[in-house]
Amino acid sequence: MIEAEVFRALADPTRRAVYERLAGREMTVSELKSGFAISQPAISQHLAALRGAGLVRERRQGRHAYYHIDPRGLAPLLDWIDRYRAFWPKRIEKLKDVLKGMDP
Amino acid sequence: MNHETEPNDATEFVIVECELAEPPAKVWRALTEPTLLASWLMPNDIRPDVGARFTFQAEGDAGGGVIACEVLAAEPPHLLRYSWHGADANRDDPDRVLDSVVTFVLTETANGGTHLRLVHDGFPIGALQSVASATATVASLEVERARRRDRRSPVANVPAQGGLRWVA
Repeated sequence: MIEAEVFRALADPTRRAVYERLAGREMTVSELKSGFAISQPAISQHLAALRGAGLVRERRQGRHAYYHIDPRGLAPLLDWIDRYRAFWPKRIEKLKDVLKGMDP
Repeated sequence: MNHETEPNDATEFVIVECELAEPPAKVWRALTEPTLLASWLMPNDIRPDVGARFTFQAEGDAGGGVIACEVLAAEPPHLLRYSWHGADANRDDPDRVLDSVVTFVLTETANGGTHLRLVHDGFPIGALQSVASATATVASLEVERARRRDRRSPVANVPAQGGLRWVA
């Protein structure tokens, strides 16, 4: 399920930090690495997970690969919120009716 | 439905607040007696004791399947909090990344009624908040939201912070 994948990708704090840095601007792996105390392979692994979840895209130019976020990847999160944003107010309206019908 | 536009807490994303004419003790019953709870939320076997596990049988707008819950806090008649392991999360989610938490806070009002504050938060929205804190993302999110709002009937305002807050 794509929703779980997006949440799982963002569940890791380091991966979330990688995502947040890329939200600022597009970067290469080595640019990205300079902000973190982890190895380049580890960064690449996090990027692979983010790409797998549709949160990050790669752009190749010559010998370099650039990474940027794809905001559309957050759609499952927005859907999650939209679902409950619609759900709870409706149910609270029903609660009001139930309260009116209850014994004192 | 009125809208509030003030920034909200970083961790609280889905919030519904309203004034009820009935006192907290009565509202508490509607939140914790299975039959009453079922009549406005979903069929359930709730027991308002900390650590008690119960389920909702989800239907309609709640999706299908079973929502597994555990009572995290129960202070009658003021505070009820339970974990919410959604029906959509049962498959494919062994590490429970889709878990969230529902909290009801009941405060007695001057006229003997209840101010109810419902908060549905937890990991997924926490992550979104964290992600949305990067300004570039907020901008793209707002664009995405606007696009989606055009497609759907508008139900709530979206404050600039990327948080959501509205009043029933």
